[in-house]
Amino acid sequence: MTKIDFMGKRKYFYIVSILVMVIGLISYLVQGFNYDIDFTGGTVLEINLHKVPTAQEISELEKLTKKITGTQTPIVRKVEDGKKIMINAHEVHGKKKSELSKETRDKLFGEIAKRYNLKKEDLISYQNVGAVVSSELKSQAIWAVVIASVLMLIYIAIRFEFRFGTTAVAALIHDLLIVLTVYTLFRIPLNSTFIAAILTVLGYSINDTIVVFDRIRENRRIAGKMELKDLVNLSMNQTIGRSIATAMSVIIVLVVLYIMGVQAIKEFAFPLLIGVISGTYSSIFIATALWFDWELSTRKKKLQAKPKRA
Amino acid sequence: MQNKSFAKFLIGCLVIAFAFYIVFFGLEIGTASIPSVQKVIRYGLDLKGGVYIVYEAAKENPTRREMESALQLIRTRLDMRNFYDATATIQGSKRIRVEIPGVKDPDEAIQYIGRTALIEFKGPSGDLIVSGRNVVDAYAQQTTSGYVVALKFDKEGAKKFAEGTRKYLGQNIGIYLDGKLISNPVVRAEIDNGEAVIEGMKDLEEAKTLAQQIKAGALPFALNVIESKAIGPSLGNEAFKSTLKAGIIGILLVFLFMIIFYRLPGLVADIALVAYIVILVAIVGYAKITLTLPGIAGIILSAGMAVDANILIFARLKEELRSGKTLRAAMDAGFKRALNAVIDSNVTTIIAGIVLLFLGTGPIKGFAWTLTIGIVVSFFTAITVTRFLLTSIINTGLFKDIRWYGGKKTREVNA
Repeated sequence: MTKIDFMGKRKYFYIVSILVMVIGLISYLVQGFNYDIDFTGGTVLEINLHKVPTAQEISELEKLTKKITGTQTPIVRKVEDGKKIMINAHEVHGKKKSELSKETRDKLFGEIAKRYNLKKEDLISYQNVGAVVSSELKSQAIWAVVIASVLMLIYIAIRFEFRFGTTAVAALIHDLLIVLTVYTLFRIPLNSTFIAAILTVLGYSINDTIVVFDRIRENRRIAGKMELKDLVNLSMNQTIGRSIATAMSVIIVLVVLYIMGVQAIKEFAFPLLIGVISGTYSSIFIATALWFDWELSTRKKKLQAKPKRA
Repeated sequence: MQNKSFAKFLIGCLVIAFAFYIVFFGLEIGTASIPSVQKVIRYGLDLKGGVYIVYEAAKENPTRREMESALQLIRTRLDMRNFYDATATIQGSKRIRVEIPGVKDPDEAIQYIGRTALIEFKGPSGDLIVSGRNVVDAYAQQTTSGYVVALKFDKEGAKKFAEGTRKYLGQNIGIYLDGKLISNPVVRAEIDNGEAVIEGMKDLEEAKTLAQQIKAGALPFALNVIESKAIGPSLGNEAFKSTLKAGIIGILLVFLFMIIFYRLPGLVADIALVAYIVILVAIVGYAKITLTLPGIAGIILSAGMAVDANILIFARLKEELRSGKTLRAAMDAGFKRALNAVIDSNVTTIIAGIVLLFLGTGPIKGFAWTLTIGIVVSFFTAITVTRFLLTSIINTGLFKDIRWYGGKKTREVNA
């Protein structure tokens, strides 16, 4: 068994994580999130153009959408094989945004149909979402994450101890921020599947962390007076093979899904992929390292406190 | 002992293969038959195309009864249009979600089912006397003149109806449902007690249906469309096919991965994974859980995670073997010591799944269902199927070399 001194290098891993999150924060401040209509309210049209549009054509389509619907920043993007496009738009009534009326929608599709010589059935699908749903979805997403985290924290606190629970949840927040970074950096639309993606990452990440913690808990019972650092390093060396193997099997499936899936699946598989990698990384380098630092600082305090009492 | 163990292993594999055959191809013995899962599986709209519409009551805090009568109205209207495949469900406290497969234009569907002003009483010249808004009750009755629907108006309605019947004494008052004339009785006397009777029902069934429709039409609130979506069937079909294909390839790659890394136990895990897929697909299919696109992703993902339980056990097995234990002792210890981690890690993921189940809607719920069921099933197969098969194959005594279990150098281990 190769013996790696994980804990000795933990400062580098902290730096790497903080760096990624800073990139995420900058990206968020500069370009924000790409809220899908699930969150903003509006209409999505999916149209089969039967040809791959050029960047020039995409920008012309955006201008056309802007003119007809009044959307300030309409989004037109290629999907699937590139021959189909999705248009996100809404109508503006004063300050209120709403989905497109049937007339506006027909007008927009009519114009595009004229340009590209399309038939009626080339309007593959359209979706209207009201703003009520959107704001509810946002709070729903936040609540789902908060409730799931609290429940997991309670469970780990009962099965292990409070300190394990707290650092495991800290690692979760880490993964959450990494996934959010991916969403803002790559402009992946934030929609209802985003909640599913986030929660899957949380589920996976905590799953992975627990296995490492379980080994530390077990080794602590049998190892007796081993140095804390050696004990943690030993536990991690024992579980690293399994962590990588499990991550690999999930990653294989996600990569195939990403390569072969339709647009909706691609947008789901990519953040999951990053989330799983981050989850594996964080359970080894972040959760355990944080727990180790915390445990170490309390032990030092105890050591310092002892002579005073004596 | 050795032959018996080998037989056990074979029987285990055969049972799984047989179950696989039944689930995916169906079974017919004489008159009894089990349909294949493809025939019974319920596909979500994103997989077969159609429209969905979410309605919201335009009233604060509607009661459960009010919501149920609104649902009844929508069901009646869907049936009237022959949308028998359609489903309508109450969501939360004030929403109704309607899914209609095979329909292309939501606007058209909204036209059919969206309005609430149903029943109207009109004079001979088509002027409105009173509408369903003033109806407080409607019920079927059997009288000497046959089956009738008895109506009760509220105070305002009673006054209007009394005026109308006085005005049109001896003439016809038309009763319209959705603008369609359903009854055109002659007024024989002024009616001022707020009660009316619609005669001429064929049977009790018809009278009951009409009474329900009228009650539904007397809905105390309007329904607003807050969300609607149309999904083309070709898109759904394409999405389903490509996701399924991706899923099969992904799982086959995981099979290969397990055999390469864990050798014999890996093969056993693969067989257990087949059992996992059979059980999961059977539950989703026969329990009529709607399969959505994210739902398929949930299945594939939980399959990936199902492997984890096996990996945990085998990693332990390998360690125990290295420390010099006999095969059987190593296996027992491997299962026993991995169990804690398997339970704890699965429970935490299930917590996430269940939270999603309660907070999610539509396709997300589908994802949460398959993920949660998937984890439970994977836990079951990992500790029962894997264990049974591995014990049997080890007991045959045919695989004694440590390399069968992922060891690096050739070394005999005792069973």
